Amino acid sequence: MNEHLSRDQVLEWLMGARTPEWEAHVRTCGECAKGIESVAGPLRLFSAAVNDLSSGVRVSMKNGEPRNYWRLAYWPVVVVAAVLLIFAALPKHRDRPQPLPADPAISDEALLQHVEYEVGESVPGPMEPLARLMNQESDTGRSR
Amino acid sequence: MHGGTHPSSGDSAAMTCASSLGELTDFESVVRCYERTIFGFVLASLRDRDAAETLTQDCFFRAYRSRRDFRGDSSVKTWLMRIAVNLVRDHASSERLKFWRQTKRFDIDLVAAAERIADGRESPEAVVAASEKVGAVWRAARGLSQRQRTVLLLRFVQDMDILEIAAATGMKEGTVKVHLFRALQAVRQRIEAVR
Repeated sequence: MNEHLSRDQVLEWLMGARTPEWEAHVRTCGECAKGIESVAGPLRLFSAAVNDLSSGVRVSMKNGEPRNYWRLAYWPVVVVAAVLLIFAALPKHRDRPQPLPADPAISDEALLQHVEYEVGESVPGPMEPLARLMNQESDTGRSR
Repeated sequence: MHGGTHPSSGDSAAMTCASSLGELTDFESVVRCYERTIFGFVLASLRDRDAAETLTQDCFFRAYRSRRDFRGDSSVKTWLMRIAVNLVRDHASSERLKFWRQTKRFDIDLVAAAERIADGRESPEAVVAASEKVGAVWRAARGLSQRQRTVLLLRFVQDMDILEIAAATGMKEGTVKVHLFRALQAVRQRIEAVR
């Protein structure tokens, strides 16, 4: 093969598609080798730069297995969620009308009045015959 | 894996790692072999170091949990990369805003890394030219669709061939070729623009 590689063939070469004819030609053709290197060189440097930035990375292991970052983050997430729930519930609790604190003096007085009323109340209607009977018996006993 | 002028991953540790089913019995050695490889792919995909560290950790955790399902149809690297590709895809789609916010800082880091690599071996002019070309590759990669960027990174940062990329991404071989060809066209266009 004496023809130079076309621009598309240079890209195909870089993709890995190489015929024995192409390889034989590129070995002896400085122009084609230069055309390939003009793209391959920057790509090689780019790759080296990415690898340089990758140095020092270390996957965290525990007992021979990789740690799960999500599992590590599990408890803090649960705690934060619980705190948020509490704060979300607090305003509702605060807004609910609370019973007024009872004044001990007022409540004692009211209780006494209630007892007096209950005790001093006249006999209810349905009980009146029984009350009359009891009064008659007590009057009869007194006259004897 | 690839010879000639093809760019290599530069991660010699990963090249010496065993890639068979048997190595999964010692999972910590798997992690040590491939942590840089996976992290590099995730970092270049997301451009966010914190997210890349979290996703790399998650990748190995998921791999550990599903290690009994690994049948050895592909290499360990391809299997791990498949998990990483899925994690990157899910993350990028769920955090699109954050994804773009990290871009500028990573660009600076990448160009600085390129200068570090070229420095000492090249003239000051060549160092500048090298960093400009890395910047051009990166700008091209940034403008690609996520699938195109993924196949580009797997091919030229992870040194995977077309079949391995197809296995890692779940794409058909022909689809991988189309995406990779278009990605390379964009990269070459950007590189030629800085000359």
